[in-house]
Amino acid sequence: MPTIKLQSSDGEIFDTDVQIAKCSGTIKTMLEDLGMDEGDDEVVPLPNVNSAILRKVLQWATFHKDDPIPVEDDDSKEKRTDDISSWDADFLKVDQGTLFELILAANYLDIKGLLDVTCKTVANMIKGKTPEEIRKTFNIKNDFTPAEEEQVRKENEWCEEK
Amino acid sequence: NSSTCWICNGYYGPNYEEPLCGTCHSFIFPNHPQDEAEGMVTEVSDDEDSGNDEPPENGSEAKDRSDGDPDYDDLDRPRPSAPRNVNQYLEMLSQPREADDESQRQICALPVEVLLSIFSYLDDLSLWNASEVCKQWKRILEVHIPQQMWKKYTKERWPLFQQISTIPNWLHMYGALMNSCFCRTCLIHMAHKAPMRGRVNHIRANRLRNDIRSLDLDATEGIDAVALDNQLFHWQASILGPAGSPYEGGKFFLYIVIPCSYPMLPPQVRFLTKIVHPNVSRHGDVGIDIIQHNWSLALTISKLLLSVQSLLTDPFTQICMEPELGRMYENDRPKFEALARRWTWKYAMYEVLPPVDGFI
Repeated sequence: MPTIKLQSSDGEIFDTDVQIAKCSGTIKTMLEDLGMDEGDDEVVPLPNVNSAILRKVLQWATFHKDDPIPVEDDDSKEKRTDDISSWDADFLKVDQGTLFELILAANYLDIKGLLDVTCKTVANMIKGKTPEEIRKTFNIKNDFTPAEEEQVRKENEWCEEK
Repeated sequence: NSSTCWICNGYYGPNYEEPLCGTCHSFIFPNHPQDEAEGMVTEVSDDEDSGNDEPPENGSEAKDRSDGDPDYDDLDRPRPSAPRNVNQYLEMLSQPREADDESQRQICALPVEVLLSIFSYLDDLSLWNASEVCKQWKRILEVHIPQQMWKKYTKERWPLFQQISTIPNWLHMYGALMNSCFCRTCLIHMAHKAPMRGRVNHIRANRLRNDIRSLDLDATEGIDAVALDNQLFHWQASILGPAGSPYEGGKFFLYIVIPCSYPMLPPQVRFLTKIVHPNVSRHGDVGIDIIQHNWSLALTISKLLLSVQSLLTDPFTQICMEPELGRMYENDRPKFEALARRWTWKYAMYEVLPPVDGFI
């Protein structure tokens, strides 16, 4: 099985099956456009991905290497978020920082399947929550000014108006 | 000007108080149109139309020269260098960099395209909640979600809402209607489509067919109701505030749940639109005897709505959902009516007074 070397931002080298590395649209294009030969000892630098995240990405890609190529999104199709496989759900039981790093890496490496499943996971964390709950979930600062907030926040109790 | 680039949201670097960061600017607004055609050459050209944010000083420079005064030579400044082009930015980005601090990794640091892809999985209610989380999300959603979508969902969620005047902003309209409600959870419930059930209750179905017919006959009384799902479980109703009451001019939306064993069991009726009334709880539940112990098979949905409407004219203060409001109604009528009228104007008049610009 031919392999290539992927280098993470902190310099670690990962010997990877070409087939698995080609999950990434970015790497696939790079290999095809630049005509990197599979036998070459060329190292592909991935400056936006650190070794911890790259390891997870490769773990995901190894598990999903036989998946059918995802079809282009059909806008008419309803977007579901409850179809995350149990392996993916377990794989994504990570802290938020890691989850966002995985999203960034999937976006940068153009791995559609991983990007979809991570975005779905985050969407599930947002769904059905009130704004304040969402802020708490993601530790987002409420930056509406009091006047704006007065407009946004409607009093729930008529008692407040007394 | 925001604190991060509004294209990449800071992913490709700081924006230093500009609307865009350098990388995005160089990509979206390349220095020269030829840049791309010529394979993105990096040479600095003298082209006037260099796309610099700062106007080049060659205007004054040329004037100085034409004066021919050698004393001004000292004041000659070097020409501003062209902004880095996208190749240079890409080169900078591909240099290894320090590992980012873990605590910095926040959802707000994701690029807008990724946030949009996350948002694309959200339903309209969650999307609207997301738009109220922070300014950044609100702006992203205002810019990227078409008005048509908010219009579509306003009409879907509020089938009895009639567009009378022009609506300047459908997101604001949608948000205003949602915010005018007592309870967000009820809204989610109402939006939920009941799953298909195998067995059809024919008594219920026939009865509801009659109910719908009588609703048509009573339409002139300022009441209306429409089923939201095929199973006729979830209904939305509206009541116009009766003339002479502090609710006059308002249109109040209600949420009705028709149980499976209707008409043996009474429907549940709840105000969606916020209203100040002694017999309406702060969650919108209506305290009226005919949907509790005094339910009768002779009652229909339209009779029920007419009873609620007459309750608006004459609150029943012996038994109240909100005793304090009952006391206010009995002891300080002007204060009560002023409060009720203020709420009517604030929450129940969006058909005639669409929310104005700015924040909802």
